Amino acid sequence: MSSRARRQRILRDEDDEDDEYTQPSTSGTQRESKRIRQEDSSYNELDSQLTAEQTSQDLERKVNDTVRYALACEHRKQVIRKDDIARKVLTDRSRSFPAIFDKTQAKLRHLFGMELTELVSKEKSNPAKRAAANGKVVLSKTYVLRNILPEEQNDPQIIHHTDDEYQSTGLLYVILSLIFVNEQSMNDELLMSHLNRLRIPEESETFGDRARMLDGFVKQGYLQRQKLNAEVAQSDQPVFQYSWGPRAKAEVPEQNMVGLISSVYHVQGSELDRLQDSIYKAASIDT
Amino acid sequence: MATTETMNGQEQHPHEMTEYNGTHRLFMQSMLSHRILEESQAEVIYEKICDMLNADKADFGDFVAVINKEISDVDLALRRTVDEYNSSAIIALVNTRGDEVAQLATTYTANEIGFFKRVLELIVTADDEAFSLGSMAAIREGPKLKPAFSQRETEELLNKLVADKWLMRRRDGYYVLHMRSIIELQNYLKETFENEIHECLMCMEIVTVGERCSQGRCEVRLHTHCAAGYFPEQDNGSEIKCPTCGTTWARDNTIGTIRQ
Ligand SMILES: [Zn+2]
Ligand SMILES: [Zn+2]
Repeated sequence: MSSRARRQRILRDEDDEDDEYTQPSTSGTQRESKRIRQEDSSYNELDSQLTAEQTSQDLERKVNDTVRYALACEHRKQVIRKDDIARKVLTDRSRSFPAIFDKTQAKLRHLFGMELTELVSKEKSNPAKRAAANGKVVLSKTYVLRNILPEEQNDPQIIHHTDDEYQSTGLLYVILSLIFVNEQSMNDELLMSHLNRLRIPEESETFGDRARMLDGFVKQGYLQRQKLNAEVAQSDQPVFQYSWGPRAKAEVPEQNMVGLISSVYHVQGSELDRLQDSIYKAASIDT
Repeated sequence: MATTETMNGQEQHPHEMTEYNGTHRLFMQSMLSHRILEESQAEVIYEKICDMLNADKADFGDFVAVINKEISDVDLALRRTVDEYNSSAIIALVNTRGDEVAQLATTYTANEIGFFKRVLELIVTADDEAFSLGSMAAIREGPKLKPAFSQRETEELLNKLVADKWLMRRRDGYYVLHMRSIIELQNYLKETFENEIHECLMCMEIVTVGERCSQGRCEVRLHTHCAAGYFPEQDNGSEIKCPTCGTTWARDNTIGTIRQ
């Protein structure tokens, strides 16, 4: 036991016995702050003891700020970057990120039934690099705030969604399924011709400016857009390729997508199995 | 998916109604999506949640109090008040930290906030305490800004401000403050428009729709619903007077109402 710990022990024993029960939560944060300060040995012991309280209050404040920041980003449907949390919210305390992040998660789950989910990074387009990653999931240091309450609680009589949200979600699912059954990617020309066939004009009352809407999906992490190099594209014009973004991968399970697409056909039994097999094949997923 | 009871690793004890549990959590998700609701609607939602989660229904006020105790850490609160426009009880999720207008920055650009501030100013400083702004006048403000908004952009922005419940379009087409603005931006409004913003003598909340004292220098203003509660029924013939200066009170001397 270090001399400081012993002294705290003595101080505590002089107090009411009941204090024992209130200690664990605060000593937890003190331990953390002690660990943080060990990197900075210039503090003398008295200083560190005086600042321990301050530090745990500070951490608490930063946790609450991070919760607020996560809610605000979600409200804008924006992905949440670890760098932005460190730079905009934690500032001088960015080294405490792991401790603050864990407490933020606990608070988000407790208060709102939500949690930050780290998105899977862009898969390497280069097959060699993909092989090098060896099937391991590459995390992206970006997060989305996800609802973790059971699905049936997301009832429209309880949770309000605007008409705009419904409309753009509908269109997003159409685009995601088009890409899905096209072996997971689609160039912009083909996507545009599909949208034209669905009579979604370049500019409409309902969806606004089509290009801007697609930009929005890309920004929110639902779609990923990649410029193909001239060789692959076999064209002088720049060709862009769309695929599912990290957020779609996190929020839309493959089997839900297959279920959605097959539900259009009203088939059952073995016919449904055959249909789903062919959807997986179109998505170039081995079953 | 874990059930809400086990999410905290806690059992829900029937006698501890004050414990923050799955009903509070889902109600918070609901309030995050609505921001502001008539209290009667909020209670229907609460009932629905209790049914869904098989929870006992508590007194709504107690239920809200449990939530407020828990969310104050993150500078949020549920506030219950009365809608100035229709006198119904409402509940709103509000930010309790200062610089309220800056918080709009999560969904609006700096230029859009600039426009909104200008509209707020025009509404609050409207002649004769009308607390409203004609739609043409509102649309004309966009192109005057630097950088300017086109007329179409201005209309879109006004629609967005209405959809987000910062402004309300009255049935005569005038823009007025939505209750959300009155509740969430109250400090900003009081500080910025010290001379124009009055608090109701009865409930001490901001009043932009109600009645005023006929004595020009008297600051007494009452909400429509507060005045209705304060003044006795009119048919007993006795003259009613301003509670502060004693001037005869004319019930038709209104502010913030549709002018004929
Ligand atoms: Zn009042
Ligand atoms: Zn008076």
